[in-house]
Amino acid sequence: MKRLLDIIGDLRIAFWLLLSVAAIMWIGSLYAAGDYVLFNSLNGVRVQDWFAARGLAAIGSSWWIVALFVAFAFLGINTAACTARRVIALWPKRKEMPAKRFAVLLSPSIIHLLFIAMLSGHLLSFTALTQERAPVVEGASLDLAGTGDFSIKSVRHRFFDEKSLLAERIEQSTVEISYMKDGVETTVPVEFLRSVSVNGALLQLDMEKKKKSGKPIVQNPADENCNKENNYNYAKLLAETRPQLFIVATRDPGLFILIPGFALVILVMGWYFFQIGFGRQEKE
Amino acid sequence: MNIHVPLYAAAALYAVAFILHLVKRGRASFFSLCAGFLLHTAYQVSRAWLAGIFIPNGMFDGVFLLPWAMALGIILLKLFSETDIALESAAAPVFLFALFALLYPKGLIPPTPNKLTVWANLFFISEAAGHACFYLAAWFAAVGIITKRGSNDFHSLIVWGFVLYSIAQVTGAIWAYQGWATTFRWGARHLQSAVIWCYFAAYLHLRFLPRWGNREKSYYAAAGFLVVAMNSFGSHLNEMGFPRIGG
Repeated sequence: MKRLLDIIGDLRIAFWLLLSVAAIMWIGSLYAAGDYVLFNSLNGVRVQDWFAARGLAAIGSSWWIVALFVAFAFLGINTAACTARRVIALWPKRKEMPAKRFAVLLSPSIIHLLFIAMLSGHLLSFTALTQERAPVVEGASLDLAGTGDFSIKSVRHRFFDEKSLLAERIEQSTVEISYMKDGVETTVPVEFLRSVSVNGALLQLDMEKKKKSGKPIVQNPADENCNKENNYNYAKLLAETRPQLFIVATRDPGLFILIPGFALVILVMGWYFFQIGFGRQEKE
Repeated sequence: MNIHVPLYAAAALYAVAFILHLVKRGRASFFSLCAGFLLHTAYQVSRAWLAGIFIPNGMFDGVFLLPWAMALGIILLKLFSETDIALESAAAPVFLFALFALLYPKGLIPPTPNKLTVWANLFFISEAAGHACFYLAAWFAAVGIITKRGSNDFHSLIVWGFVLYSIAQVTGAIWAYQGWATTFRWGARHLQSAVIWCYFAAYLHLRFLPRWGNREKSYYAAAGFLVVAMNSFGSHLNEMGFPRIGG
């Protein structure tokens, strides 16, 4: 058993696997930048469903996702074996040293266990996520991702100060939704960055700009995350475009691992590196 | 007065700091770098009012924040570390990044509702700070290779960079969760960010590999300059075409 752990948990393998993962993701980023529409369609759907619907047909561009999952699987196994090796060696010595010293020595193993948990959380997100979206229309009745029926009561926009250069741009939107909870009608506001949970699904707002014809404007590749300003209403474009609010319902079991995992890993990592003087010990 | 004048002055002072370093005027070089940093700080703060109202996002645009974070890193190293390497030499990459900032569109990308959160600000601060540490480490590693010093003075910088960059991954994930109900999106920006993290995570394992001595680690750290640049400048260049206000 020990021999097996030594082979599987070899740090040289860990090093090259990390570099392999980095290389695959870099190659993937080139594909993702080159075919934004294809890879953006992977967001919000389960990876296996996406492969069946689109990925296999474009395997020449999507092969790296398979390679990435395989490399991460090997990295997870390697990390688990390496951590087990270290803990098995360390545990019998716990009474031979002060508790704090033992905690410092154990910290890298805890960080690695949390890393495995994070990999699992991401895997769960990629394979078990449910996301549905619908346009926000006042008075509409919806049922998205198992939320049960809810209706849209009202839509309000707050704009930036009219004396500023951001005048007439949306600062915040508020969509009031109403649903039955324990036999009582409940009304709650949904805003950008302020989601609400309804029957375990997270409800959020999204927005797209549309042409008068109703056709959505093709997104710029850079608009995928933080810079979606092209999708929002510019005052001058308001007359020509109809910004459309969407309500998005997400059910993601991976988040229950990822969100606390993120907090824990930073705390443990910060404490560990503080204890070892942020690398000064190795330098000395 | 044009609000961008302090940035031009700061870049000039960074250049002067490097020239003074070349002529072995270490103290004057450090003074010039500090003066440049103070002006640059004033500029970064003033960027919060680019739109005519206080929008903190302007302060944290990575292109402008990176040379500022690098200058701060050099000053902190000078004040608190016991290294004997000539830290002022790093005024050269600080100047180069400041020069890029001078040529870059300086206005504010109009923030969308999903961008108006402290998590976005924390993400950009910690990302720029992590990048700054990696670039400085790469610079000192390269200087060590050229001067055949054979030490690994850059190691602490990579550790600091890794911690700060990990914080960026977490704050970015929380922001993505708040805004888009997911901590990761399949796109070039998220993938390239993960590339940098994996590259330096691999570096942290080198201390356990006997074949990797200081010389090999120096080459690896120096190559980190290209890795960070290749995986961060794509989005900067792409955003050059974005509409901006107040610039």
